[in-house]
This record gives sequence, C-alpha cells and structure tokens, in this order.
Amino acid sequence: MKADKSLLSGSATLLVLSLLSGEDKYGYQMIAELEAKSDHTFSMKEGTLYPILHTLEKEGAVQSYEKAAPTGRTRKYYHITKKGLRLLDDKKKEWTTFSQAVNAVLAGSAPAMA
Amino acid sequence: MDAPNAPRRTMEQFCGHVCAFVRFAPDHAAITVELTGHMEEHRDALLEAHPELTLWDAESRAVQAMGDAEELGLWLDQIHNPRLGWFQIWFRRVVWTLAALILLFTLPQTGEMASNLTAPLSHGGNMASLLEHYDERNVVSDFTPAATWQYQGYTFSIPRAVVTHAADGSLTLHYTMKISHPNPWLRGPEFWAWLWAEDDLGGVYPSYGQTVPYQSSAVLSGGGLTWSYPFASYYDMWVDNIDPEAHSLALRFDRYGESAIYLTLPLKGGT
Repeated sequence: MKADKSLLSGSATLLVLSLLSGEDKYGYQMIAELEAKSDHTFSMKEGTLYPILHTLEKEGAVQSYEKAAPTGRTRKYYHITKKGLRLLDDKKKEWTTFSQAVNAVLAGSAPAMA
Repeated sequence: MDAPNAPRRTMEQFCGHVCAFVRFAPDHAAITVELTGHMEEHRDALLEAHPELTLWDAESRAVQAMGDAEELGLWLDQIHNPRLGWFQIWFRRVVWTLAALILLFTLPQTGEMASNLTAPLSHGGNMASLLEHYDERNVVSDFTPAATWQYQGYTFSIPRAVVTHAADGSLTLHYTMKISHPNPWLRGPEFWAWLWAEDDLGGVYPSYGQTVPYQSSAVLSGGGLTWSYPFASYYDMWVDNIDPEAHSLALRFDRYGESAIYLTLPLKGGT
C-alpha cells in the first residue's frame, strides 16, 4: 500500500536523516533504499528528495562531496553532520510523541500527559 | 503542473525546465549535474532490472519518476535564494580581493621584517668608502677577528677589520663592530665616544670622551652607529695613527671602572 503523500512529506526530513545516519549516500541510493526498506510503501516523487537535501545542507545538518563511482560516473554523496544527528534525535522524539498521540486517539482513549 | 499525457521529455529538457524556475543562475549547472546523475542512475537500474526496455523508455520512466519539473523548480528556487547567493559570491570576491591586496602590501614589508630578524652586515660610510677605493689603498690586512666579548647580555664582535698604511707610515684600522642582544629593546648601545684603544707596545689611542674638548686632533679612536636592527646593531669604527711596529690592538671601554668591552685583534691579520 502506498502512503498518503502528505503523510510522507511531513516525515521526509526524518526519513532522509535516518537513511544518512548509517553511512554516506547519494540521491538515487537513498530513494532505492527508502523504497526497499518500506516495501514500496514510501514511494515519493524522486525530485522531491533534492529540495530536502539542499535545505538540510543549508542548515548544516548534512554536507555533500563528490566521489567517482566504479562506473566512472561522479556521484554526489551526502554526509550527516553532528548537527544533523541532533536534528534526527529531535525529529525521532517528535515522531514518537505524534504517533503515540495518533495511536491513543485511534484506540479511543486520551493520550497520557507528559 | 505537467499534464498526465504530457509528451516525453529528455533528461536535458527536464533539467532545463526545473532550472527555468530557479532564479539564481550560478547554481543551474550544479542542479543539472545532480538531477541528471540521479536520472541516469535510475535509467541504468531500470535497464538492468528490465532488459526488454529500450534506452528511450528507461530514460522516459526515469524522467517521469522525478515528478513535476515546475514544482521542483519552485521549491529549489526558495532554497537557492538569489539574494543570499549573490551576497555570498560578492562576499567571497571581496574577501579574496582584500586578501590579495593585503598580500601585495605586506610582501615588501616581509622582506624588511626578514632583514630585521637576520640583521645583515651593514657597513658605515668610512668602511664603505674604503671598500670602494680598496685597490687604491695600501691594505696591510683584511680579516674577521675571532675575538668576541660579552657584557650584560650584549655580544660584541667584529665582522670585518681592514688595516691600511697611511702616507706617513702609520697604520689605520677601519672596522665594523656588531653588537647583538636577545632583547630587541636593548639595541644600539652608546659606547663609541668612550671606546679607546691600546697597542701591545703601550701606545694609547684616546676616544672623544677622553680628550679635552675642542682638541679633536687628539682623538685617535672614533666612529658611530651605522644601523640598528631589533637584535643587532652595527658601528662604523676606526683607530688612527697606529704605531707601525705594533702587532695587536686592544679596544677598550672602561668608563665605569670595569671592562665593558675588551677586544684584542691582531693588526697584521689572522684571527
């Protein structure tokens, strides 16, 4: 099942940072991995990735560098910075709180107060 | 928005369409390279997974997967802000220009600074004149005495000494004295008016400070400061009317009782 577009866009930054937290990746690699890991649930328009990456780069959450691929093609890799890792933590907490609240509503009870 | 049945576009056309919405032109090339690279990766993956696809079909699918070019272009335009972009470009240009100007103006001073630190040998007028007319003078010896003297942190040495025969048969010693001190503020000590000389036969060659005022003819040892660097100073000095029978000369400064300077040098050369 494909995810609702608005649901995906709200969590796109979290997903991108999460993908980069393991190792440096290039754009298409991120898209392919996102689709594979989510069993094709997360299938975004591929171009959408770049405004997210460029925004994160501008904020200092990721850094880019170029590296030659075995095919001879030059790939632009993205690397998550310390600031990016802190942002990832914040986004994860935000997501956990949000999803718990949604689940609580769906379960028919009020969310527990923090 | 792209219509569902919009005609197929090449990667180049797609990138051109995206960049048409990005106002900051200097970033167009980087955006094109990145998006093209992405689409090429996708196209190659499609061709590998579906060998029955033609290159054109694989490329079309890769372009289609990117989404709406206009939407992407407008989004990228917000991030690649032209005002900030141009500000960064001009800021970098100004910084580089300033750096170049600073380098241009400081380079000559770097030479001066190096010169100050190395304190190259600087002869004064008397020695310079002697060296200029060297062949016309009756030079007895031209050497660098090995003797040095230390007093209160100062090191006294003579980098060059030239002894000449005067017409009356006496000897004249011209020498450049170097005085160095590790403290750059303690440069150019004033001693020359009281530096007198004594030869090995007992002959005395008084300085300005030891003679009766207005009897300058009695002054046989003299000179003055030539150049003062932070760690070393040079003096252009001379001793006149030296007994031709003398073999060595002691340069002395003992105005305050103790020998602040006591340098002995051979008149006929050697060390």
